[in-house]
Amino acid sequence: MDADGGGEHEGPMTYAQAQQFFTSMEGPTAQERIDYIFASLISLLPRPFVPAPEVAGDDSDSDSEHERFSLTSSDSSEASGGVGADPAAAFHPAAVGDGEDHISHLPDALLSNIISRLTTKEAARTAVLSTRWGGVWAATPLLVDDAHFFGADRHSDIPIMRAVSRCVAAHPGPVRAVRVTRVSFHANEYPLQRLVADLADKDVKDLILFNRPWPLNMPLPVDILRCASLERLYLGVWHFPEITAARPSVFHELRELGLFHCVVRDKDLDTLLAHCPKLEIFSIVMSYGAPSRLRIVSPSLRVAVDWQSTLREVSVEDAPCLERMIFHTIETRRSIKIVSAPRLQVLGFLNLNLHKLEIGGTAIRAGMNVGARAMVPSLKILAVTLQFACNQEAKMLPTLLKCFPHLEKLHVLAIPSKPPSSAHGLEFWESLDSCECLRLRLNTLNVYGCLVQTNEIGFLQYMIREGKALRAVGLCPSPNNKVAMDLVLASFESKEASFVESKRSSRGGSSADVILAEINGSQIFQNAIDMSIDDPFFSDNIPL
Amino acid sequence: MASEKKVVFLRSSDGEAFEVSEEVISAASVTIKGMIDEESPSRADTAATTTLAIPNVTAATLSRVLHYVNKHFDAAAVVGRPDDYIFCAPGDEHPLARFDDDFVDVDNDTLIDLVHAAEYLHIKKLFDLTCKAVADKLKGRTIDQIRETFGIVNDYTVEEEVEVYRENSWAF
Repeated sequence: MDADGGGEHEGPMTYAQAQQFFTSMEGPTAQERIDYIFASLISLLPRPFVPAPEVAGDDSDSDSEHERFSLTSSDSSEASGGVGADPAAAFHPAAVGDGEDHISHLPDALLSNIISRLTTKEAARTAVLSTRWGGVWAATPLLVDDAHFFGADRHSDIPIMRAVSRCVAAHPGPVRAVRVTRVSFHANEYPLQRLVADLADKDVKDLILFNRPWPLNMPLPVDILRCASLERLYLGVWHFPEITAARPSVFHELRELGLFHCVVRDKDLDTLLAHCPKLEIFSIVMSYGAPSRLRIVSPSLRVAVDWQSTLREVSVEDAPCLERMIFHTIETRRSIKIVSAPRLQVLGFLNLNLHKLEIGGTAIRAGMNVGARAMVPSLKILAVTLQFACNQEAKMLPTLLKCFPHLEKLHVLAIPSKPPSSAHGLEFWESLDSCECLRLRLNTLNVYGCLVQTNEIGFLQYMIREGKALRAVGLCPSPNNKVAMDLVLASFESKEASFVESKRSSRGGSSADVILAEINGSQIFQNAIDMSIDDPFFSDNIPL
Repeated sequence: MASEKKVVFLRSSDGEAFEVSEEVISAASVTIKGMIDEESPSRADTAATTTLAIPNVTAATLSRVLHYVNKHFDAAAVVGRPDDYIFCAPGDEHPLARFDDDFVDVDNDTLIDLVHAAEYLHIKKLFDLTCKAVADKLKGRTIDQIRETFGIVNDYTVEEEVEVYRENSWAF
């Protein structure tokens, strides 16, 4: 997976080679290395419904008592009941009240709601309280999170795989959500097949299923294609089954799909996407070799993410609802074709070195005249990665701005140039004319990284000079960035009126409205797949 | 300022009336907003204030609920907007987190009365808070402790109990 970073290899490695490559490296073991990469994959996932005890337990004392759970009900009562150290347990409402069963006066629906807020094990334990509680547990859609099997009682004899299987088997269904990220399914093939078949039979709605490597291409059971009730699916480190006419998978309800390092044939990926009529959010993460391309034809898709994968081409062919195209590209060149995406609002990070952009059949080249067909007028937020020292990339930026006449926010990740600044630069920016979005729309510029060299400062001067609608400029508050920060402070003093309107000043931000900027990869990914967040590239949660 | 605002009176099941800003309680409770909307045509031009009967909630519980509602839904009293969690840095606690913790640090009967009231009045945030608080009371306890705490009677036969333990043994 990360092996594509070892650039000396020509073409994709096989998985055997990749494993060999990992094993052959000095320093940490292959397992340690892959665990590190695996952890970075997991960090992108949506948050669990119920946090694991070890996470939540640190700041809430109730969870620290986990070890007091005991195996049998009667034996433990004398020992633990007599402790009385826990003030809440010492309070005995039944004694104060009328001896009635107060919590059981709650209707089933409320008890169910309460059970659904417990961890997998805690919820199942309530089934032994009484016949009514047993019935309510069985009637509450099941939540399984393998993180709940760790924690204080991790020295349990039952391996996680078996606990997960038995838990799903014991419950009549439906299954609300399953999150398994800590199991290595290698040598667990039969239980894996049973688990996926059970989940299909019990109408699983939300499934996060990751195989802890090695291997990197373990076959995912075909029964995954039977899980027709799925609304959200994240798969990690699998070889996706072939979709044949004999097993047409239709995920009628699927709204969110993430394929994390999954081997999927191009043909199967096309078929899969065509069989998800409600899909809104699709991410492909760290894929390696297969699929080799992503072709988006979807009546419903709103967010597409290509994250650290080795795709050669991404083409948005017919996506009437697509609002976001998110890229995070390392090392591998690819073409990005936007054919039809009338609602595209957010695009980035476009890597001006690795990405070849084509809009409406026109390849976008630095300095070209941009015609109406090569424009995406719906775009509001653009993020780009570039080296200002590279002329080709620097000159591409103003051309791009012409492609997006209604752009409101621009995020720039400036990669430090290896050789000290190139000869031209300043003249280029000084003689450059304006464009529509700068004159009328662009109100926010965020720059990640430092603007130091003359060509970088030239860019900033250009944006301030021509950005007639510019209201906020965000810079990294690094000492290396002093020239750029002084420039922004000085320029904005002469534009007082626009400052007053700026969003931050109302929150007690600095008067110069210099926004702290920081890049946080997994945060951007999680923002991107969260439609409630308007701008996935903006780290708005950093206090000034 | 406060005197200009419209108020309503809520009468608890045991006959006590509580004054609350109409705007605040409407923002908080779907149920009461519905009652007010139903009443409003008839009182559009009368100066008399409305009294709404809340037959399912006692005075003790209602006063707690209104304490919560005034903290969470009165824009003037809240730092930032009520749901503006975004304005806090990730490590920061929501300004009302402490209040919420204290609010549900009550005996079981009171808590369960609050769950009922929140459900009846349809105050989602309070409902989530109180359900979560009940769930927290189930955590970290032995089965016998839970039974004792909430007065749950074990009505399984010995055979049934053995069976249910066997089925769920993975959870222990």
